Amino acid sequence: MNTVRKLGLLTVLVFSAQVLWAEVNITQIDPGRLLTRQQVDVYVAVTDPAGVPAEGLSARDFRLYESPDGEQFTEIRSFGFSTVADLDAGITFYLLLDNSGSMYDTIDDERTDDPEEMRITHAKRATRVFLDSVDHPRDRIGLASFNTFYRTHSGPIESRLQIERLLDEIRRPGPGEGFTELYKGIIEASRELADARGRKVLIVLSDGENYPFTMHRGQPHPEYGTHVYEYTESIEQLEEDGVSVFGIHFGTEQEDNLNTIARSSGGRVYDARDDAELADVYVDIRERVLREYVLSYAPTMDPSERKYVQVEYEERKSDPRSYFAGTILGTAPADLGFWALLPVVLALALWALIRQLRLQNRRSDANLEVLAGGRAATRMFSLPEGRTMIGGSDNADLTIHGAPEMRAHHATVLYNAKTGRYRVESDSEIAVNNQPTTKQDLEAGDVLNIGGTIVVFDEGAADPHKTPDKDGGKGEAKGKNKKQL
Amino acid sequence: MTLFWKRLIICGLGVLAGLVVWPVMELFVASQTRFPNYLVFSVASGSVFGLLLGLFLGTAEGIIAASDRRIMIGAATGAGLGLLGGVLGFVVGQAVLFVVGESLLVREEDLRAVGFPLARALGWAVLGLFVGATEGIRAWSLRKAAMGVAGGFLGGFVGGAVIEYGSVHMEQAPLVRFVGLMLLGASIALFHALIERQLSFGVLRLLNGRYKGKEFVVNQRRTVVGSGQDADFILNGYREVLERHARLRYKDRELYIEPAAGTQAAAVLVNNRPVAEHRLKYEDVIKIGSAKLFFRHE
Repeated sequence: MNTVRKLGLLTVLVFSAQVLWAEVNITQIDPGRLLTRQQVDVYVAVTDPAGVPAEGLSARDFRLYESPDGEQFTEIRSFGFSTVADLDAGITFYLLLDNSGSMYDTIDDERTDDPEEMRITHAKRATRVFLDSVDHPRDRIGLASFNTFYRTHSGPIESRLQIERLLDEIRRPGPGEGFTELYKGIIEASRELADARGRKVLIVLSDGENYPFTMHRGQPHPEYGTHVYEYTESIEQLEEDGVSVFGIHFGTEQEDNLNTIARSSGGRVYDARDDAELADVYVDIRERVLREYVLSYAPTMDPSERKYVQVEYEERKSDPRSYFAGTILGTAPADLGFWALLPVVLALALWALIRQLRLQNRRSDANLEVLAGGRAATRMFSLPEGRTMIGGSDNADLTIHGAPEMRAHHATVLYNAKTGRYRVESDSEIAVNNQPTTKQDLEAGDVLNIGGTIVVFDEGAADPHKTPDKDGGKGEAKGKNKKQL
Repeated sequence: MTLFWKRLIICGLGVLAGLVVWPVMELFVASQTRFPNYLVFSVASGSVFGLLLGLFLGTAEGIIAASDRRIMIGAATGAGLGLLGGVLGFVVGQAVLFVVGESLLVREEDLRAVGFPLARALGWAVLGLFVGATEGIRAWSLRKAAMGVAGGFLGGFVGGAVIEYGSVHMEQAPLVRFVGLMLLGASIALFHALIERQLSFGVLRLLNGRYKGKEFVVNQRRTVVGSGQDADFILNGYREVLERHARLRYKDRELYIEPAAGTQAAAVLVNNRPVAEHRLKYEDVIKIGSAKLFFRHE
């Protein structure tokens, strides 16, 4: 506890109000069980005026508010309560170490060849102390480093020993590799935490400012191209993944935007000058997170894309934080009243109408229908009771264009008044129902191929007054009660 | 009825389905606060929308085949599958939306404008997928079901994207939902038709009689033609057509026709000649009872 108190004072104090008043902050919102359990976990940090985490608080000390618009807040009367330390889930820590060229200088920014004096050696030593202090079996730790490039050494795992071993993978950068792509490093590390459950903490140790390759080399980054990452992009990514950043300045130079990044993500920034201080900082971060409170509540069903949450402690309210709560249906309903029935009635009426539709063959006259091949003036051609000349010539009775094999006068359809039947004749070979012929009596539905044009003959049997109902007779009776299209 | 009319009617039924779903959807949006939680809300809204869409689109084949029995079976199957699909679609869609929604909220306007509609359209797509499978399951044809699933998914996605895109970008959200829902129903039918067209083995067109011009798409490996209600292609209104008269079979990338089992060998004529088993080719004229059919590829 002494360590924590001491470090509380060492903490970089960004807002002066913090010195005078207790502070309440929402550090993370986890809506991961919103659909399955109607539950959202709100992580809250409360610190006393000295910046020391408040301990021993109970649900009664807090008030929780929700709003669909960020303005009108309603109090949520009941919510689950625990501390992060009480949670079985453990915490996921992700260590992001600066491995730029300056990390191989001494703590006082002097050049050195003695590894023992190098910042990186102090940083690794302090990290080992931190690893030893992580005692919850479900806590998970990941490790990454950054300079010009971002490198993952391990995603979050439970084995501290493995992480300790991986620290040795961090080696001095080669020429051109020593830049400080801090903002991009935070973005990448945050992404790696996106899928982790529970409290997610990114610890960023850096000895200097964001110093991007593209801007200072004047040429595109080998992996990121010409895009120069802004600190606002880091903030967006952290918000998206629900990750808090705890930053550590380990050196003489300070990166101001790291404060903003840390504060807006629910974390804070520390200064450390040597490995002993650094080790204390690590331990403080962990203890701070363990002393956070978790308020689990059942959200209202108020329709809104975003739900805002605010927590109050001793009449001090946190800044609101939000999470996504939109549904597939969206918002803003129409006020229909009884008019709602109108489309339903209309649809049912139209359905009944479609069901009654009868798209039947009603042609009563004998006819030829051009199905494929050439083109005629009309697709359906009524056959007169006499001779009908079919051909490519303009003076044919049925002129077919666009059929290369069609002769000027190719075939003739004749009507026999005695039998009441039609017949096709041709000097050259035609096909009726795919069989070659030069003359043939026709019946309804016969398919004629005349010079490559396919024509269907119908004697107009649909009209019972003209000719006996050859094809539909029995069916007419059979189908009388059927509703057909 | 030509294929064009057939497909127009199915699209029309999709539009009618959208017309019925719309007021129900508005009712759900208006009463979100009455539901105890997001899960129940998703299950309830998805099941009702799926049921209604499935019910309407399920009747399509029955109306086209002019079979009351098929209308009933189709409506029941469609409603059941639609309900299942609606529940799954909306629960999965809502889960995806909750996961990606967070990331979309903090993203730039452009990404948000596209991302939200797409994430939401996914829920409609899963709903459409199940509704589309209805006819395939009724006909117990894997191929037909697969076509319906693909058509339903695509149609659901397109329609859903329009609903959601409009909801995000336009002030008149209810009006957009009104148009979008009708488009959803129509596009499920339309995409089904497009896929059916791509995968068909051929088309039989009636050449004579009362239903001259009516076209049947062959899209199952086994198809029964007859006057019975169980036939895949129902020919009623024609003389001498047996309940199960002829059978079409697709094998070795060719379509064959033969008399159905138990039918006289001379029952099926192709090009005026009785056949036992005949490989169909373009322009073949099939005679079944008094009905004549013309074979072509689509």
